[in-house]
Amino acid sequence: MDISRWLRTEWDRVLGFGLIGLGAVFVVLAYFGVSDSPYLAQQLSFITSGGIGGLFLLGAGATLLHTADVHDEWRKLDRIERALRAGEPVPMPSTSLEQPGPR
Amino acid sequence: MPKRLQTQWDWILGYALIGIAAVVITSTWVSVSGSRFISDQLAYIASGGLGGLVLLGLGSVLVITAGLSDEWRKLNRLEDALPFPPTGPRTDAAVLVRRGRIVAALGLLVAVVFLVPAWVRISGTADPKPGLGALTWAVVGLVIGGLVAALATLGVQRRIQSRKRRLFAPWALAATDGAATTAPAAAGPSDDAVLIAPELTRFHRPGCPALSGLAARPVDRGDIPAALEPCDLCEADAIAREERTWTSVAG
Repeated sequence: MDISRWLRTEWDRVLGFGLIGLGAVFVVLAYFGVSDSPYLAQQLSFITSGGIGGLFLLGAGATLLHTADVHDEWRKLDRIERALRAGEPVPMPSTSLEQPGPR
Repeated sequence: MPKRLQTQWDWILGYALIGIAAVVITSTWVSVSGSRFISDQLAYIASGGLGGLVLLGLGSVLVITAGLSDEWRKLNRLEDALPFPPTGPRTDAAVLVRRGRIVAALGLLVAVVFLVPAWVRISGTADPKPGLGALTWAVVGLVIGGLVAALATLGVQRRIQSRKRRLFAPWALAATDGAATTAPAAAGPSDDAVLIAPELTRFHRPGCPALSGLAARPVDRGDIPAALEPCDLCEADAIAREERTWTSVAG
């Protein structure tokens, strides 16, 4: 498998999963940081870096994963459009069979 | 460049908002870890921390709906290439996403409405106790706003899925008819076969338009690679469901 080509085509999915994994690690580390610290000021610092930062990474990763899926759909639709324009046979819907009309 | 800005403003603004959110959250963390006063830290968290998450929500909604809007445009173009009249009234892509974006923005506005008074309350007092209570309400507002934004985006996606189902229904019917007329004694894989292609991450029913122009090979249901998901276009998930039912009955 060509890793560099795979990374080029799947960069959004790879980055998305990477950010989600990193976000999960941040949240877990924040939990341990908060539970180990007796000082409220230090706990708030952990909540900001690990908690809010982790949530940010999870959200950004999920957005990238969704974008990767949308890109896949684009590629699929582009391929269907190319095939249609190349004259691939198309099954006609029953309603249009009753009232045929070329466009 | 101005044309690119005109046509892709939502992508650019969305990614810019996500980038700004990253900067705001990082600077909030620096401020919080550098402060010794809890009331100051709470004020930073309410403004920069939760505010950064609102920016992330806005950016994500813009990026996701921009992708869906482009997909709708592609469906419009694909419908133009079909040799039969459109299956229903056509909606402009901008109109499709506008409503979803407005609802999502209103949801995030609710989050801001919770957030601003909380920040005013927290920053106006040196006592952290009322500040913690106000921060809790700000988080509640953020959760509500995030949920509304997510549901609004999901609504746009569902409209696209339903249009795709309508548009590709003739293929799905042809695939079903083709499977029904296949002779059981035919050579090669059985009539339970699905089609897979090395370029695709999903398996398909015979005749699925997603396979147009690809060299697909048939495999039996039981041999579908675990990594492959069923195709949405030809509703190959029905095959997967049947397969699961059969497996559970057989134990």
